[in-house]
Amino acid sequence: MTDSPSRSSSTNSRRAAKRPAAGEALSPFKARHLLYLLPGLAIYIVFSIVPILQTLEYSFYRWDGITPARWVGMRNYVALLTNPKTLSTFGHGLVMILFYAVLPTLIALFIVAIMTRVRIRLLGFFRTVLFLPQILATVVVAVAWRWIYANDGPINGVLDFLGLGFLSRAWLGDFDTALPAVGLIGTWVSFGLCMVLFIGGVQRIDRGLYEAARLDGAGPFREFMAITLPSLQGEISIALILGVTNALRNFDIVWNTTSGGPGTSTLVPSYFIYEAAFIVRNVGLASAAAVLLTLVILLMTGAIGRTMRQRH
Amino acid sequence: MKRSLRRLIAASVLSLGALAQVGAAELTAPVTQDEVSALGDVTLRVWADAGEETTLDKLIPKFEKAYPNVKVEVTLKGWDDLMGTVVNAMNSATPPDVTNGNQGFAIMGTMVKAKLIRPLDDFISVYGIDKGVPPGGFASYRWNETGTDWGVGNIYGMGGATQPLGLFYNVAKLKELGIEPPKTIGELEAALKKAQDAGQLPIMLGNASQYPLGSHVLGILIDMYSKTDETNAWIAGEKGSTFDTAGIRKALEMLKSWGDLGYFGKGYNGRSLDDAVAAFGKGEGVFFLGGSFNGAKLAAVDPDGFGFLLLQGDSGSYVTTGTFGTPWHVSSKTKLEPAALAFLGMMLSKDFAQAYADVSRLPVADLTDVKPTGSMHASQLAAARDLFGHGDFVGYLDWATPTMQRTMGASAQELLAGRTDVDAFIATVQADWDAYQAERQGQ
Repeated sequence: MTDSPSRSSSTNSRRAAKRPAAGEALSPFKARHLLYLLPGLAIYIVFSIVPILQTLEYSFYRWDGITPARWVGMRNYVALLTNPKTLSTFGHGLVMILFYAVLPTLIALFIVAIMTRVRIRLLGFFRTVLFLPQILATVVVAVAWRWIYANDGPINGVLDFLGLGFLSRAWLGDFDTALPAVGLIGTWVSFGLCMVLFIGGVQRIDRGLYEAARLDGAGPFREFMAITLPSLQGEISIALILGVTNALRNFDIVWNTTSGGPGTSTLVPSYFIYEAAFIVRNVGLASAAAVLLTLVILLMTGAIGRTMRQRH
Repeated sequence: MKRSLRRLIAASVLSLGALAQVGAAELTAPVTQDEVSALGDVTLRVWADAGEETTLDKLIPKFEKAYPNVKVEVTLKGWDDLMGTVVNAMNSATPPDVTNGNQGFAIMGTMVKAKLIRPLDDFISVYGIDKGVPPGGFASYRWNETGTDWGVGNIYGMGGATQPLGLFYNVAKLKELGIEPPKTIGELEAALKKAQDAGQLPIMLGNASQYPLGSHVLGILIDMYSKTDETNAWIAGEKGSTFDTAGIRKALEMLKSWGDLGYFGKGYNGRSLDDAVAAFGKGEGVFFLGGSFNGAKLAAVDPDGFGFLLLQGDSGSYVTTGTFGTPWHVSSKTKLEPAALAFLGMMLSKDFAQAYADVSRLPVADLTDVKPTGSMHASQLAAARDLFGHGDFVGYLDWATPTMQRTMGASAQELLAGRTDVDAFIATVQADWDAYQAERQGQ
């Protein structure tokens, strides 16, 4: 990362140096120039801003989505924040962060650390393979994993073969293992993206830095901490922000594997919101949960961005 | 001149209004060919559950031939997808003319309350659909006009194929084990034990989506030990109803004991319902408890390999969860009402019953004269006849509140996993019910 700001500032100054010539052609600001923003802004307002504000409004009503709504003040929020079931649902969302953001980042960093020491043949091939889960339709991913986790699936087959048959179970149907099992699917999907991000970042690092470190007698660990990790800070923060967002809005994997069960052990916020809005037809409660979820995502991604920037 | 023109326009507007009134008026005779032809070339839009596909494939060519000016356009949806979208679609400016829905407050209740669907009482009596069927079967389609009270008032929907919950069995396995098809819950228990002792999986269950353990399997047991009226009153949200009855307690204890005894085998919470039906079709498991609608898939594997039966309650009569099936509705906004009613009229007629039977379904219009696809379908038809002739319909438990499917499904899994007990199960379910009834009355 160290060289990138300087590079970008140099391009800026280059652009700045050219500007006077072009600047003469630029007319001063006029209100009608804002008109160019209109088409994009209109779409943004209609499809993003208005629905967000509407969701906020609905969250104060009891509404079935069809017949007239009834104002209930903060009742939906109180119901969400006092009900142990919904709180545990948000708790599951936080657990998902571990699997969607933290684990993939750690795994990808580990592999990248090795890559900086060892030259890997067929890098392009591995990069494609590792990225593949990202581009597969989640339904396909979920169905494949449902089979892997099934009572008569390959995981239990291996366990039986190793004489560990007593450990075998329907991994997605067991109260103790369902949540981590769903989470690990997320890890599998996410870590390819982290890999590709980090590989890109590492390739940008000046090889001379590593040579210098090695000349100074730094071991692999020291090298990683002193050069690779700080250089990847921007990529790590992007990976974490994407991971946290994906974790908290995880819906399709749960939908296609456990439907939130067994019990409510894999019920996550997005699934709860869908169910409340479209199955239970309590649009107000669903909106309140959506508002809370948005706040949590904003807070967490904001916090990540801030910490990473400060450390930088 | 000007004034007379205005008067003429006013008069024609009035007469148009009157015409519209006539269109919305009660039927006094079946829709005629002329009434449908008068619509001109039109497209009748139909939303249906994917399970209706094979039946609609037979109906539509027949209908389009009889009414050449109408083209039928079907949108098929998976059950969950249909449940998530149908109310909003019916509320839109361009709703489907005819659609599948579901009983209960969340779907049908909302549509009645918002006046999105047309009452069908006149249609049902004019077309003679109520002839020869038990009147109690209509209860789950009845609502008061404000959509707040259920089980009374006008009929807002009608199904084509009855779907009682019952017991499937593997014919060859029963023979091998030397067990007669059980008639009562006591005989079933003995059979389950015998199957297990012989090293067989007693009950095939696929409960990955928290269904059918907490709704259908438990429902069948509750039917055995509870009074029909009490259960139906509870489902309909009648004041003072409770889930805490001796019969329900007994059913829950039995479900728990079946789980403890390992009658459902291992890993059923990780197996989908479809996979379970497929595995049962391949010969895994002696019994399968669930809706008759699973039979079509089994019959496709082996039309004579399986049997179906309803259990008799203590009274000796057949008691089971079931109705006339997934309801069909007509949009109250449709501009093609004659075509929509003619479409349903043809679908629900005795003439069309064999088409249902050909795909191993159980047509409400005729359970006696249709030709079965095999011995399993024959046993299903016999079971449905028993139910229609001298049985009691009970509603599905999950109709009770919009959240009940989740509440009961999750609690049933927790009960069998030892994470909750019968008392807590009943308390959780009743709390869900109480909260919804308070909400409903408050609104």
